[in-house]
Amino acid sequence: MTHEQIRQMVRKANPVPDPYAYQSLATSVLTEEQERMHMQTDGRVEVVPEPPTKSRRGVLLGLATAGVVLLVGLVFLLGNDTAEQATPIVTPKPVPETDTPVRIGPGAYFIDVDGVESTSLGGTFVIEGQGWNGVTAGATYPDADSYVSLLVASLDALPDHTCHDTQFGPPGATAQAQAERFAAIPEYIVHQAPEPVTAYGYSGYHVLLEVGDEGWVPGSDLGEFTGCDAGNFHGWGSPTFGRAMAAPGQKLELWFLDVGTTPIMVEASWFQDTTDLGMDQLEAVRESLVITP
Amino acid sequence: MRKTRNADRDPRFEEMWDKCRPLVLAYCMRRTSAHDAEDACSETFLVAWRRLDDVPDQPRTILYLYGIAGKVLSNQKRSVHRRTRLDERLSRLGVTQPIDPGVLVVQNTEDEVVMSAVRRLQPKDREIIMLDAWEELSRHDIAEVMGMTRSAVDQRIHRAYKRLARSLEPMIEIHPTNSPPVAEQGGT
Repeated sequence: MTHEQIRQMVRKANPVPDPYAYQSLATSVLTEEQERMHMQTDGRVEVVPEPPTKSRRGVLLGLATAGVVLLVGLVFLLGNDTAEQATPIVTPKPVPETDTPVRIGPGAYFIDVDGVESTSLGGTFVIEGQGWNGVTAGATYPDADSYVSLLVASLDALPDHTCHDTQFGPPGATAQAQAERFAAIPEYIVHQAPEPVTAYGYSGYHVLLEVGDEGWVPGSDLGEFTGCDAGNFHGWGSPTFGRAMAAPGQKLELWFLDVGTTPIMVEASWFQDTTDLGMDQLEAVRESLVITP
Repeated sequence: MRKTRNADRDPRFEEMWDKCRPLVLAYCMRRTSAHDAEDACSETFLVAWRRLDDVPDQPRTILYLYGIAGKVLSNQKRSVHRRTRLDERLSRLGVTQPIDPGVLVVQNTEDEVVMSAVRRLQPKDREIIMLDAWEELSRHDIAEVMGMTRSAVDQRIHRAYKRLARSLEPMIEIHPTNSPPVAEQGGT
C-alpha cells in the first residue's frame, strides 16, 4: 500500500470535507455587534467579567438557601460554644453553566439537575476554601496530577458499553434500577455492588466503582481514551451534562437516591494517588451537600 | 487617533474573518466536538484580534490562524478532563438525537477504521497527517504551522503513513483495493 493510497483513505474519512458547508453554524460572538462592544478601542481585547448569572430560579432557589442556612447554623450551634462569632449568611449561587471547569470561590452553590427553572430539584453544596472549580453538574478540585470532584445529576442516559460500539439508553426509573444498570456497564471494576443506603435524607443505593483500562494508552492526558470510540470512556448523561471518565483507576462512589419520583445521583470521584488534602476537600464538600426535591 | 487606528484594524479583521472563518471552524470541527469547535474558533479569532499587527497577510494568514487554533484546542484538551455535551456525543454516535449539521459524521465502517488508526498516532504525527490530508497544506506550509523544519515534517509524514499502513493492513486484506500493495522503503 503506497503512502498516496493511505492519504486518499484519510482524505475520504475527513469529517468536514467542505468547510463552506458549515458557515451557517456557530454564529460566533465575534459577528455580533453586541459582542464587538467588548473590544477596546486600543486594539486589546477587554477582559469582560462574566455577567452575574441570572437568578433564574427565584423563590425556589430561596428554599435551597434556607436549607443551607439552616445546615450552617446547626453546625455553628453544635460546634461553637462561645457563640460570639456571627453566623454567616450563605446565599447559594448557581454553579457556572459550563463543561470546562472555571474557578469558583468560597460560598454555597446550587446544582440545577434538570435544567428546569420552575423546579428546585437539585443539590446545594458549600465550599469553604480556595482552589475549587465549578461545572454545570458540580465542582472539581485539582489534586496531584488529577482531581477530585463532586457531581450531582438526574440521569437521562447510560451507555451500554463505556468504550466500544456505545449506545445510550434510558437509565432506569428508580434509584435501584439505575444503580444496578450503572454497576453492570462493562469496563468498570465493581468494588461494591449496589447496597441499600439512606443518604442526604433519602433512601437509595450505594455503589463503588473503578474505571477500567480499556482503550487507555499509558501517558495520555486525562480523558483521552484514544483506543475507545470517539476517544471517550463514556460515563453518563443528564439533561444538563455529559460525563466522560478521566483515567483508569478513577474511583466513583455513587449514591442513587429516590428524591420524590425522580432518582438523583451523587457522584464523588477521586484517584488512586489522591492526596489526603484532596480527600479532605472532597469529604468536606460532600458532607455539605443538601438535596432539594 | 484611536479611531483612526481601529478604522484600519476593523476592515482588516473583517476581511480575515470573512475569508478564514469557515476554514478555521472546519479545522476545529475536524479535531473536536461541534460545540467545542465553535468555542475554539471564536477564541482563535480573539487571539488574532489581539495580535492583529503580527498576523501575516494573505495567503499566509490561514497558516497563522491554524497555528493559533491548534494551541487553543490543546488548551481545551488540557482542562481537568474532557467532557462533551451528551447531545453531541449521541449525535456523533448516530444515536437518537436530531441530526446536527455540525456533527462529525463518519461515513462508513472503513472511514471509522481509518479514523481510529489516525487517532492512535502520536499527537504531532496525527496533526501533520490531518494538515496534509484534510487541510491539504503543502509540506512547506505544514512546517510553518507546526513550527518545524521541512525535513522534520517529511520524516514524520513518512513515518506516520507507514504506521497507518501497518494499522490498516488487515482492513486492506479484507477489502482489497485495485492497486497491489507496495513495500515501503526506508523510513525511520
